[in-house]
Amino acid sequence: MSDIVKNKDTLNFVMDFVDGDNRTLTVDNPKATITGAQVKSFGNYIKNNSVVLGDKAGAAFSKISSAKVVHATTTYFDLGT
Amino acid sequence: MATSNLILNATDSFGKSIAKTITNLNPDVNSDTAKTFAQMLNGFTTNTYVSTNRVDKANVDTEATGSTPDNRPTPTLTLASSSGNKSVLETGIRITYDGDGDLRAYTDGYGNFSEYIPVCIIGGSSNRTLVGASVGGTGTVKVIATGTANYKPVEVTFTLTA
Repeated sequence: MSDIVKNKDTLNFVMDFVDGDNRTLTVDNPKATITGAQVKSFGNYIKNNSVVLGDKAGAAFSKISSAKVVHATTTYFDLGT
Repeated sequence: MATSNLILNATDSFGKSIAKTITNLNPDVNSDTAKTFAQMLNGFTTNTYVSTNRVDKANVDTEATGSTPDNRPTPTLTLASSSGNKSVLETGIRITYDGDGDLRAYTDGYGNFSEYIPVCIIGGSSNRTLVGASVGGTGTVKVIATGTANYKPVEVTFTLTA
């Protein structure tokens, strides 16, 4: 039995709120074709429709300040019997 | 404050079911907007969209309705003696109080006392004493601790006996 290597990609959006706080929204299995314009459009939809709120009262959504795909490779070593 | 969560249900390319919870949804957002948001989020993935569920919760304050509940603790206010004659009051009665309000002493008016009884509280925060000077007659003395942002108001009584 040999080592097992698993790959996992996660898309992280950092959402900023007007009280200075932020929250990270993550989704697995991101597409390879995501564009910055698509992220911007998503952020505008959240803002224009007040979809999400911050943790405190009155903490409105401000913008998506960053979006990144994290590639994680995990190697499970074969330890033998 | 009421809160609302979205649950985005999808299937990945291996056929595995995924339920992604998004917290702190604006509870005033209508369901069509919430669903569109979930579908847009899923559009960033290779997952196949299945459905969007919504879980709305009202916290205790809104469920109780009416005024905001008073969660301040009641402080301890005790007198070393709850009753006694004039010499007990003239000597002074130790007060124990663990709140941060002001302490005030009142008699119950002139009616039950044969003469006006001036009562007061002396001492610092750790050794306050209820003292009455030139007491006479019988009646009730109240010691009241005022309420503050941290503690509820509270009162105790001393009964002056013959």
